[in-house]
Amino acid sequence: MYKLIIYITIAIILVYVVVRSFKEKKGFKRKIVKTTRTEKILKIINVFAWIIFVGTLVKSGIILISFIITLFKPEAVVFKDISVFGVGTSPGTYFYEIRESHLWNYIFYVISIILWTLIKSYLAYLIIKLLAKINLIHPFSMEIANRIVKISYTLIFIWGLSFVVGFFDKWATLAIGLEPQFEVRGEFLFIAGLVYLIGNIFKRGVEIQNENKLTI
Amino acid sequence: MAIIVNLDVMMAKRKMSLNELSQKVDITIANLSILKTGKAKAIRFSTLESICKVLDCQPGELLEFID
Repeated sequence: MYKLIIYITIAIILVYVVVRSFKEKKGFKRKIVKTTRTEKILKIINVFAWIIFVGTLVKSGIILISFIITLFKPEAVVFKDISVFGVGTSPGTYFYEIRESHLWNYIFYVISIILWTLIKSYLAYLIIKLLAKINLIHPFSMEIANRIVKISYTLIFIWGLSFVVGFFDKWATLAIGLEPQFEVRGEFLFIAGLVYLIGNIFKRGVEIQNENKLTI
Repeated sequence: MAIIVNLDVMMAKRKMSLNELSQKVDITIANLSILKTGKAKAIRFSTLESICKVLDCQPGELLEFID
């Protein structure tokens, strides 16, 4: 069911993008006469960001609804098909066990997972906003630079949140005698540093551009 | 800013409007305005030369250093 919803969403987005690009081609005058390779890449990234945004949002919604259902009806096997931490993780069985034996562990655990998924969709949302704001004729603006830096802060937050998820995961899984399923994602910190660096180089570029503009 | 542009003073002395100066120096009014209001970060020698030529003054009369 979960996979089906994701596939339908992806199909809708792809159809929308194709129809939109077809409409653009039919127009009398296109704003940009020749589409460069970079512009095409940015468009593709935009589509991927939309897919990730909708996908993670749907996933967090499904986990939330499943969580609410299991709170009132523990025997419902709603988590069976959801890969919470990636491919191959099927928490259907051990979620039920945690729910049955340790309710509070279960509540905190699932809420932290929902937050983890939501913050990832927020990251995709930031990328969509960034791509929507970017002006391909004058792409270097302080607003874009600030948005890139904001993305790096969100990545740091995701890294910090992974500790919280890791803690609740350990707390919940060890309570039923299972190995922890979640690993703290150190790569987020690395990517955050990289994005922060790019953002600041971008900012310096904008400053130089402004200086050049103010040279009479 | 430590360097002050006295363009408005020189223009007043020569009784020249911004529009007239802009036409004679061949610089847009917007750029002259940036220069006049002290927002400019730098000035090219060629620009300074043409302004000095039109206003019949020395660069030192246009630019002033205040500590």
